[in-house]
Amino acid sequence: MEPRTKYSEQELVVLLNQQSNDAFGYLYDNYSGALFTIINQIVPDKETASDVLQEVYVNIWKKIDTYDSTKGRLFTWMLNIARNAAIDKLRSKGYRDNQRNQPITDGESAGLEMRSNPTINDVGLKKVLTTLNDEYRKLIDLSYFQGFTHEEIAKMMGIPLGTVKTRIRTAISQLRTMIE
Amino acid sequence: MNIKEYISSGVVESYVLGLLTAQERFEFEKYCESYPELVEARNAFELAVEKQAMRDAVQPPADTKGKILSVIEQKPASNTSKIISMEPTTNRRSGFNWLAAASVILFLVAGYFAYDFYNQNKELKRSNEEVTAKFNSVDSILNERKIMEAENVTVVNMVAMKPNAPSANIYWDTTSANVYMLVKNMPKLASDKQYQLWSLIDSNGLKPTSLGLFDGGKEKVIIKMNSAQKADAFAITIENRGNPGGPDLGQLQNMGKTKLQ
Repeated sequence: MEPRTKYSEQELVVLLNQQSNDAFGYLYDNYSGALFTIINQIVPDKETASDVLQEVYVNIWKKIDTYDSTKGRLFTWMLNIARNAAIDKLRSKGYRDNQRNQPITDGESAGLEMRSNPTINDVGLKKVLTTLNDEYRKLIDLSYFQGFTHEEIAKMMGIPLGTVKTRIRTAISQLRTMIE
Repeated sequence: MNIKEYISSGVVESYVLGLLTAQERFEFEKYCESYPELVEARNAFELAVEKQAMRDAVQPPADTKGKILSVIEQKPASNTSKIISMEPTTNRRSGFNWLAAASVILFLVAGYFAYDFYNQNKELKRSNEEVTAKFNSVDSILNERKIMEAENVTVVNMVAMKPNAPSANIYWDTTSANVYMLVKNMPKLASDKQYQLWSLIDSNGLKPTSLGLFDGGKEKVIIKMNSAQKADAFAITIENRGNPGGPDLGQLQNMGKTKLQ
């Protein structure tokens, strides 16, 4: 593919709001890998992850006018759309039923165990996750990658809600120092 | 609130990663409005996450792009579909804290009414000011005509001596000694500076007499200055606010002679 012009985030947002196909093409070429990675880390099945990615891009295209740059970067906004869509998919009845009919894989052992998918687990946030201690890793996995609320995690792990909150905050502060 | 403690509590990272509850997120966004260092910390973490995510990206199956483009071309973007926000999925499901939601809604509603009331008040004040301004300008037009049409009034065109000099005419009534200045355009000055009008008399070795200090930033107004019994020329300079001494001729802006030579 021929190299594209590089757009700044502001230019991209303006052009997307004008429904520019070029800008959308760039948005796909530039960010689809990063978004697909996070989706696939939540939904281990590659084909389903690719379906979610489609849904995510169609949503970004439709909802670009609701993006508010004072609340964060465009990538952060897209990343959150991708994560939410992937978690919705993970919890949908259709997806769970379908998974039940499949031979049991590592990806199936949800709950307190880390799901492992060797192709995708050792990159990005997940890679950073492996450097945390077990307890923190579990907490981040449950809240970020599986979308459980703090209340649910407290029940599952049998620890007080306040402790869950503090530990997640601490774990996340550690993530920051590792990413930077 | 101790903003440093707040920033290092992990709230920034939780916000960016979408792990805050609706109420915590609302608070965070409010704080962002008054603490630039919070926005800075948010930006820094966002960039770090983005960099990491971009570096480690695994490409999706090759046919995905084509599928997306075909969907988009079929369905032009519509504005009626539901809004996707940065709200984490978790808050849309069970465990939703209704009390927290209700308090946020109540807060928003109260805020809306306060805002609306404030706006109405502001609107009233503004239209009141408009009416007053109109009266004043009608008044000043009448004044201007009266002054200009009076006998014995000399009109002095103030010639610009500097590129950004103000533009003004002096109306000098030689009978009553009244001096009026019609300001056409008078650029605003730094708050510690003022314009000053001087009358100059030839036989006096051009000794300047102050006719008063005035502020810039006005347009199309008539200002009554101090009276001048005698004047061969008028000059406008820029001086320190309330200047008690003589003119700073290095800051001479305009000059105009009272007699044609």
